[in-house]
This record gives sequence, structure tokens and C-alpha cells, in this order.
Amino acid sequence: MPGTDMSLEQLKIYQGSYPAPVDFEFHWEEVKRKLEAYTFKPEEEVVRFAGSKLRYSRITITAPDGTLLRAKYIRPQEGEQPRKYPLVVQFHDYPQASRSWFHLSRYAAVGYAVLAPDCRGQGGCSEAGEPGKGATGFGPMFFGLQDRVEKLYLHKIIEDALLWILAGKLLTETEKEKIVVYGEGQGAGLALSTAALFSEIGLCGAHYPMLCDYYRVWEKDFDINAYEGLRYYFRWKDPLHEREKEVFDKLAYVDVKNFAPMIRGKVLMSTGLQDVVSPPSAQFAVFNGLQCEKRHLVYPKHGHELINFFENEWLNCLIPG
Amino acid sequence: MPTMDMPLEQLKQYRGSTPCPEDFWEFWEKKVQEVWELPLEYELFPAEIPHAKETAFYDLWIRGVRGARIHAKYVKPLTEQKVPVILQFHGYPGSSRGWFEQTAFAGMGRAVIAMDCPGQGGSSEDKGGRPGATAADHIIMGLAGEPEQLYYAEVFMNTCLMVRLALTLEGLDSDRIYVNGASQGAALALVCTALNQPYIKRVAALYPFLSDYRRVWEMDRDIIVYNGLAYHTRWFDPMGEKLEETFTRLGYIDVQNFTERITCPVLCGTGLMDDVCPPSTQFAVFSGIKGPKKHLIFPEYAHEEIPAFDDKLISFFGVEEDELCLEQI
Repeated sequence: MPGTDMSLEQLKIYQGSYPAPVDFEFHWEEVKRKLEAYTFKPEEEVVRFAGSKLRYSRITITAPDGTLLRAKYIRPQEGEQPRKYPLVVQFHDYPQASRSWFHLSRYAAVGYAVLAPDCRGQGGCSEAGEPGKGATGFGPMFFGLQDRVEKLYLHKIIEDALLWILAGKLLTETEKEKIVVYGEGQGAGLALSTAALFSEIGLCGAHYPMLCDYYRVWEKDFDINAYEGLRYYFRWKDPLHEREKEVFDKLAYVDVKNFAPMIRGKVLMSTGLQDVVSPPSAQFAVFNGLQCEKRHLVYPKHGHELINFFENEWLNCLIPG
Repeated sequence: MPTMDMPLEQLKQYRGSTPCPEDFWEFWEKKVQEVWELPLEYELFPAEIPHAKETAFYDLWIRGVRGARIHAKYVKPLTEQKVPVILQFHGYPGSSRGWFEQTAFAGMGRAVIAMDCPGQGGSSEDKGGRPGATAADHIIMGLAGEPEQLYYAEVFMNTCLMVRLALTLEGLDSDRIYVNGASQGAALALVCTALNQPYIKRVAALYPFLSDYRRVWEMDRDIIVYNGLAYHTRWFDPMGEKLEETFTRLGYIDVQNFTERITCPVLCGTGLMDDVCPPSTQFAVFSGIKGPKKHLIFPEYAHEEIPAFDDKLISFFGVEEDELCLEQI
């Protein structure tokens, strides 16, 4: 079996290379509790496309640290009666932006509204916020690595993702008991994180997830491409790895594999065995940690890329059978 | 300004380097007539995706040129009203994109018929049997025979069947047949429009493939999808003594020769970093269009998804009036 990582047999039993902090679940329940206590109001600005029958908007929310976060929001054509729609919250890959308005229009064809946030400081419309202590001479993923856990960039984008679920519930046309999450790469990691903390999310699509098993990423030299900030950190700040444990202890709080056992809804996940961005082993560590109803579609000759076959399966999951 | 090709000012003036056969339109008028006279034999089957409340998904099989079984994905909004239809063509050498990708237009209230090209990544059948080499790309398949034996001559003819389907299938608005595609898909979209002009009301084409073969060859960009051109020279004309003949023959399937007959609005797109379909070959295609057109140029983009172009499709295919569809994107 081809691949960029260990054999498929080994992948199927691999559990990850770094333990979860003992207070991981407590830590994130606390974060969620604080967000639920935070008062905010999604601001909606209509985006006009001449001739379009769908309703396109830009939603802006203010994160607790004052950073303005933005998302695309598309609802199906308005009927005669006002109604509510099931909502897909779709997160994007690193370091990009929410998919195009055109791309996201697909959900209306199967009766869903879609909310697609832009991660702070990446290719979309959200502000960047403060970087936290540490170097900023590489992409934002590992900003704040010399600060406390809550100041890590990765902590902030997970927190932002949780806030977007709360924002989705505040939107008046959302059928609150029917929120599903989806993501690609980084976005799949974020989708899984939100599914872990909101047990009411019944379905999660995770297309080639990343943000998982950072120790494995480092150990197997996958700290290039999206993860290159980790390599720069060690080269610049800790070349002899004297404070290595401190770094990986922090990263364990933002490791998506540690969210996996908390998920209660269904998970549909994919991995391309040619993935050189998010190592397949790190992805399997996530999948093997899931204790919910789950299905893993493994593509031997695909890499870190959109796979039509997987999208077909996701579409199948969205249409009530 | 970044570019893989000549400067933008020259690109805007460039008119192509590949010869056009003298009987080009005579040849194609005959072929179009042939394909319009074929019996229209097609069947619809439920797709692997169940119908949603709002949208139906079908596998469509049609009898194509030389009796080949041609497959298309057919996605249709479920409504009592007639809906506009988009004929969608895919890139080389793939297949019609996934079902979910096809539903974006359905979300906007448009039906989609997305043909799989024969012998590529989709399900359509290639009858083969063409004279000449088959070990390189489809561009040169059949080049040793008559023009109608060229692989792409057959594919171009099959695109006409999609127009006939759009006119025949129930619930489609036959006054609103639109065409869309990127790369090979853009090439097929433009050819399909040129050959069926009265029926097609709008066409969008992002970085078209299958154009200005001589220019590609001269630039040494006869790699990747154009690699067949290099193989053809290496195998059958190593000293380059029959180039005029070869490129004139390829003129029958050169998109730039078709576009002068397009009269409906055209939305075009080019990334100047395109290292697959050189920008000059794309400009040769677009400069030949005499009807209303808008050419969007993306200096930092290559042969890849361009979200800003995709977003223009919403209004281009959404606005009611044909005369406003380019203005209001």
C-alpha cells in the first residue's frame, strides 16, 4: 500500500505520540463556559450578486479579545413563509480563506444554510489580532509559542471556531438542533474541536484533518509546508531542544487528537495516504481516538487535496435518507 | 507584473501562430449536421446520491458519435417552473467533478448537464480504433488519419449532443442554455457554443486548453497536458520537416479557429502565471471573439481554482437579461 507514512496496518492501530494533558477536557469546558457567558451580537451585511436568488451575507462578530472575525453566510431562497434551516458551519484549510460564494452555494441545493468563517490572520476577511509572545517571522500557526497556552494562535482559532458555533445559534434562521460542521485540513481540525465541545452537533465531516499530533509531525520531519513554524521555532529559539517538553506540553492543549474521545455525534473522515502536509499517522491518531459512530475513507493515491469522491459521501450524509 | 509569457500589452495584441485549414468551416458545418441528424438515444438513471427535497440527481447515458456510450451527471432543481441549464465541461484528463460540486448551480436554481469526456477519468466510452499512436496524449490521437478521426473532433461533436439534450429534457428553459468550463472544459465550452450558436445564450471559459498548438510547441510548453505535441515530433517528425502539415491538421481542433462564430456574451479568465496553458494561447482564443466579452486577468494566479472568477459566475449566469450579464458581474 502506498503512502508517505507508516504501513496501513500500523496506521490503523496508531494512537499518537504525545499524551493529552490531564486537565484537557476541563480546560476546554472552561473556555466554552466563558464564551457562553460572553455577550456578542452577529452583525449582518448583505452581499449583493445581481440576479442571484440565494441570500448572501457577511457576518461579523467581535471575539472577546476585540478582534473582528468575519464569515460568509448563505441561505436558500426565501419562501412565502419565514422558516428556519439546518446550518452547516464550514471551516477552511490553512492559511486560506473560506471557499468562494459560488462554491458554498451548493448547500442551498440540499436545503441547508451555510456559515463559513475566515480564520483570523489568514487569507480571508477576519482581523489578525495580537500575536502573543514569540517570533512572528513565519506563518501564524505557531505564533505565541513563548506565551501561555491561552495566547497560542492555535488556541485562539479553536476558541474562535467555538464562538462561531454560538454565533450560528444566534442567527434567527438557524434550526438550532440541526447544526453540522465540516472542514478541510485545518478546517477539519476545527470542525472536530467544535463537535467535541458541542454534543448537540450530530454530524461532522473532516476532510484530511490537520492540527493534530504535533510531536509526530516534528519527529517525522513534516514540520515543513504548513507546519514549518515549528521547525523555525526550534531553530531560532531552542536549537538544542532544552525546552522541548514545555513546547509540546503547550501544544497538547491544541492537539485535535485530544478532542477526539469527547465527540458524541457521527464523524465522516478522510485521509489521503499521499498527504505530505498533515501526516496520515497524525490523522489516524485522531480517527483511532474517536469513540463515536465513525467512518474513515482512506484514499491511497490522493494527497492533501479536495477529493470529489469524499464530497459525494458528505453530500449523501446531508440528504435525509 | 508577473508573467510566464509575453508582456501583457503584447498579449492583448497577439492573434495566434497556428495555421487554420482552408476548409475549416466547411468541415465543421458538415460534422455538426451529422451529429444533429443522429438519433437521440438517452436514458436517465437514479444517481448514487438520493434526490433531496429541492434537487434531483441523475446519471445520464446517451449514444454518442460512432455509437459510444457517453455519460453525464445531470442535476436538476425540483420545481414546477422551467429552469435555465448549464452545460458543464471538465478539465483534462479528469471527469465531470463530484456531485456536490455540480450542485452549486442547482443551489442557484440552474440545472447542470456535465458530460464525461470519452476515455478520460469519467465513465464515457472511447471506441478507439484511430490511426496513429495511442501512447501519448489525446491531442495527437488520430493525427495520422483524416481530420474527422481526431479524438477531439469526436469530443467536439459529442458536445453538440449536450445541446440537443438541453432542448429535449423536460423542465428546462430552452431559451436559457448556458455553457461553462475551465481548461479543457473551457475549450469544449467555447467550441460547443461556436458550433451551436443560436441555442447558446452565454458562455464562461476559464484558461482554455486546446489552443494555438504551434505557439505551445515553439515555447517548449509541450509538456504536461500538451506533451503529445512533443512526442509527435520526436516519434514521427524528429527533424521538424512536416510541421506545417501537422499544425494545419491540428487546426481542425484548435479552439482559436472556432471563436469567430461566437456571438453571445462570453466571460473569459486567465491567470498570468499559467504554466500549463500559456497565456498567449488563451489570448489568441479570446481575441478572436467578436461578440460581447469580458476578459478577467489574474496576475498572480496559475492554472488553478480562482475563487474570484467563480464568484463572477453567480451573476453572469444569474442576471435575467443577456445584455446585462457582463455588465452586472
